[in-house]
Amino acid sequence: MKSQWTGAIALAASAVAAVALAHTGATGVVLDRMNGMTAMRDTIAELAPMMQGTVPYDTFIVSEGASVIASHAGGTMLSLFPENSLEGVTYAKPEIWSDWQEFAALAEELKAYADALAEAAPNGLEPANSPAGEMAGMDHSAMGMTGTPQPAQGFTVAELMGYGAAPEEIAVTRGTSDPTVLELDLTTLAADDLFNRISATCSSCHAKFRAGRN
Amino acid sequence: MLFLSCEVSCGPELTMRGLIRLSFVFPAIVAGIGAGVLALWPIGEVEPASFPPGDAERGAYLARASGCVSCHTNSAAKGLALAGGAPIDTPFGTFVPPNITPHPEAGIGRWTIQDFAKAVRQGVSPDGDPYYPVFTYSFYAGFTDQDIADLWEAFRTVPAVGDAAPPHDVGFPFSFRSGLKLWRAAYLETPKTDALMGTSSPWNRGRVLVEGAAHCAACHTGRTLAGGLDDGARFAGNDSLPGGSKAPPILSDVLLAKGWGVANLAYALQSGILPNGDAFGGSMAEVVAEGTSFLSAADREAIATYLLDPEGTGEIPVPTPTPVETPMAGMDHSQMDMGNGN
Repeated sequence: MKSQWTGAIALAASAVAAVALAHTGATGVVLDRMNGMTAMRDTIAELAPMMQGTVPYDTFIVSEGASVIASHAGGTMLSLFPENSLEGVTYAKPEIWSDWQEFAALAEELKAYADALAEAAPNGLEPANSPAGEMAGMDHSAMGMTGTPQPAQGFTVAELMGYGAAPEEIAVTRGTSDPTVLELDLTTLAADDLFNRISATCSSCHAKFRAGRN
Repeated sequence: MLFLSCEVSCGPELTMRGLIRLSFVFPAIVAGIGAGVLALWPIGEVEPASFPPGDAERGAYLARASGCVSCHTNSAAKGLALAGGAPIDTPFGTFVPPNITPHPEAGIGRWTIQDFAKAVRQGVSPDGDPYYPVFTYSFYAGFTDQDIADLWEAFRTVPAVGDAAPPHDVGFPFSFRSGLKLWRAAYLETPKTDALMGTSSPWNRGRVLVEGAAHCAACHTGRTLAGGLDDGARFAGNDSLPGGSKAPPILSDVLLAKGWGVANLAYALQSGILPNGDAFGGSMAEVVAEGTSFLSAADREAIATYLLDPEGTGEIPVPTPTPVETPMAGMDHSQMDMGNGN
């Protein structure tokens, strides 16, 4: 049942994306990967408000959405980037192929996080009283709002100055493409933590391998 | 006088030769005098003899908010913290953010807090030389003595790294540092971070961050030919960032028209996710990953509040659900560099 839903959602998203992108002039494998990217983008757009807590959290939608992302990541994504496929309208940068190992690692990392989120969706959001949650739930009225910026709860001096790694339960891995990260049991993490990792991986990949504006 | 005497005694041929020689010599003399004057032109104010006790936690937060860590750490090359940043390619040359760890030779280990204050707030080195404006010191001119003390305390916690960063690769005339004194005279301004009566605390806090520490204008405002901020195009975007990246406009009317509100903009500064689900790329991805994601939720909301309501009216429209323009969809391809050159 779950796979049927995932397939239907992915198909629908891809169909919409294909119509939306048809006018861009992209064809062939370039169009295929644009469709995949757009399907993931639309899924992120749907899940982000849940992760912010602005719409009710729905375990089923989160899990299915994560499966859609996973279906477009990893090996599927890599297969859509044959060497030097830069013809026509594309946002791909040549660095994809000159630094293929990094690109592939990010694609696999994205799949690992998405697969984990599909499974960990029942974990729900990070409790508001956790170190990371305290930041989001801070009492703004109590903050001094002038002069020196306020220390962010959850980060040590070493982390802020860049010479100390954040504890795994707090850290948002920012597109590290570090294989050791993938050895962790990601399914024990909160859904919003995994979602943040997915978005960080997307950003990291876009920064390195996507042409165009910010 | 030289010309007249030559004309009288040497005839018309030598007069012409003299003129030609003068056309080389005279500008050289003027340039030499000008360079000497520039070199002797004193810059910078005397910093206080003493500073209040610093708080490393507050300083580390300010260092992160100000971009010290992201700029002076070459994360892409897995470099050590604050031991020197990734090279920055500009039309004036390639600049390398230096090692600012406490190492006595390779870093700033021999500096006093007064040296540090003068560098950060005034852009002047301990030797009295002006720093290149690629170092965004002009945005830090409003830092208080307490801010400086906090930063100093935080920097003293950083492990020293003994490898100096490579020197800048800047050709003449930009390699003549004293020439930057003219640039300072033309462009250096104190950021407007003072609190405004009748505005909210978040708005004032956002003003401090946007106009000061977070130095948003450094990327989102265009530059003049001399590399100064174009006051007439404040926050109007910049298509010529170092390294070929582009910064979109962040004028309030543009942001509102694109569907940004306080909540989704604050969330984007935390997560890198745009309202339509796309994720930041380019240099903004780094800004989020190495900067704004470390800020408190209140500070991110303050930044969004100020950007969306720069006049401090207290009224920010609720965004419509219109998708935000992104590189992936709805992009004007005629404006896009399809050469994959960036």
